[in-house]
Amino acid sequence: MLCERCRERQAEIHIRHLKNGKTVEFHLCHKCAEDMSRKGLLPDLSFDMPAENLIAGLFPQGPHGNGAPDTIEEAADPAVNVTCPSCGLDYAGFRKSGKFGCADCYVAFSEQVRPLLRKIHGSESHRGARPAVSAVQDASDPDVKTLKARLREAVDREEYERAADLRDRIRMLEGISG
Amino acid sequence: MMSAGDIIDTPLDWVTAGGDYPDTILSSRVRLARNLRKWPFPWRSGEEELRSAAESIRGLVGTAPGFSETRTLDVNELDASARQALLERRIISPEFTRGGPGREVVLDDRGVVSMLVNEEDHIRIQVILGGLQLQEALAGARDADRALEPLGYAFNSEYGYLTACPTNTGTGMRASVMIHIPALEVLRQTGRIIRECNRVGLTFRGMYGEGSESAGSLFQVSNQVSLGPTEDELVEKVSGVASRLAEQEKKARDTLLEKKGIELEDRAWRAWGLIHNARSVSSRELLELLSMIRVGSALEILPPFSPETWNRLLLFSQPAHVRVTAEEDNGDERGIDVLRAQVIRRLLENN
Repeated sequence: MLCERCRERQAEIHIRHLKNGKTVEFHLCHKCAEDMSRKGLLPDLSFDMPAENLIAGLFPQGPHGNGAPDTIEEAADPAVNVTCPSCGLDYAGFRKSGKFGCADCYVAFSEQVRPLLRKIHGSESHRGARPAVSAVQDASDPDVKTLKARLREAVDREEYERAADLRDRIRMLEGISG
Repeated sequence: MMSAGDIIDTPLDWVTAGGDYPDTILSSRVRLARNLRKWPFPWRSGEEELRSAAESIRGLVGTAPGFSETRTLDVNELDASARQALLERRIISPEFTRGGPGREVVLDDRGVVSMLVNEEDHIRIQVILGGLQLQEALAGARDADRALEPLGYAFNSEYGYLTACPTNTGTGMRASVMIHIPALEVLRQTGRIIRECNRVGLTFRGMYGEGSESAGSLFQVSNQVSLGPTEDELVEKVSGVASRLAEQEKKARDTLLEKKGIELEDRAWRAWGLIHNARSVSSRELLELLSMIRVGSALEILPPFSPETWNRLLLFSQPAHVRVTAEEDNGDERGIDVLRAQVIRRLLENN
């Protein structure tokens, strides 16, 4: 049976919907059912989607928005589709899997990481435990200069909570080196 | 290598109960996700890298204080029923039962701390304790974490601990509490609880089932976000909500006793009769019987029933545990429900 909406793909989802005492039937392909459900034309259906697909939905959307590739041409363009220099994962792959490939991916995709973490956690700065100083020699950690630039930026944007956090970290780093 | 029989003989601290709210709260669990800076995350690593990561972790685990009394199991060397037994003990994930290069499990001799190597992240530290003891579980996980720190974690001072999935970034922590709330479920409160938990950044879900219903009325409360709040703040929040639920459940039980005294009494005693005498019990039925017995005994309708016996019944009635325990005696080939009934009765006799 073909999907009665697009009449292109096979109908995979069969819905019997009781509305005002009348039974309405739908025979739809997965794509159309999902689309109609999203538009509110069908009762809320929970599609059995793997968790990473849901995360992919939180990624910044194109065109050219935050460097996210939307087309094959864009994916092939190194200016748009950033690749992590350490593990070779490109942004398209990151977006598709919903997973970072290595620690350096957090830096390589830094433009997208911040808004993504904000969407998931409502925050983008870690305030919890830290490894003992001797255990941290992470080249990807921002230095004092970078942190000071971020601090100015945060103050400009009136993000005072983040600014206070950055100030503490700068003090901590300066305390260690000085 | 360890067989399923060896695995089910290893201790599990939470089974001995303890902690706060033993009437309603079964266990408290803290999990920390960590990665090593030196290698790509497991899903992007080749076989060699996975083995090297496992080797360096094993090397440190052998020498670090606090990890001296442990054993490391290579999942690939375990047979299917041993893997199933570890899954039923909530030590490994379903994904981990499939095995794979460098996939190892570390167990401590007290049955408190366990560790998965090369799951979604290089290291997953897990601590489970009985009752409400999240702070204590966090302290235990932190000790293990500190011991492994010399491996060189993937950490960024802005985002915290770096994990494969962005939903774990930051603290890398998931703190959860398993709670038994049959009276709140009967009073149709679980929908409200789900909404309230979501509003404060917590997840509330059934252990055995979906949405607002769960077999045996067993639910889990856990933190949704891992980045922003500190570990202590997250643990405090989960702990606070769990204890509040435990208190609400106690009130709900009193309400039910008041309104439906004789009905409740009848159901509790029926459950008592069945669990001691049934000759065939499905896992779902057992969950319902256990639920009634726990409430009945807390309300003093039934004789005292120790949380430890209750926990052992819950644990040992799962398929791999049943097969191993039953087969050791008589190699019974009959159905699993019949074997389960035997295991239950034996556990109750030895009680």
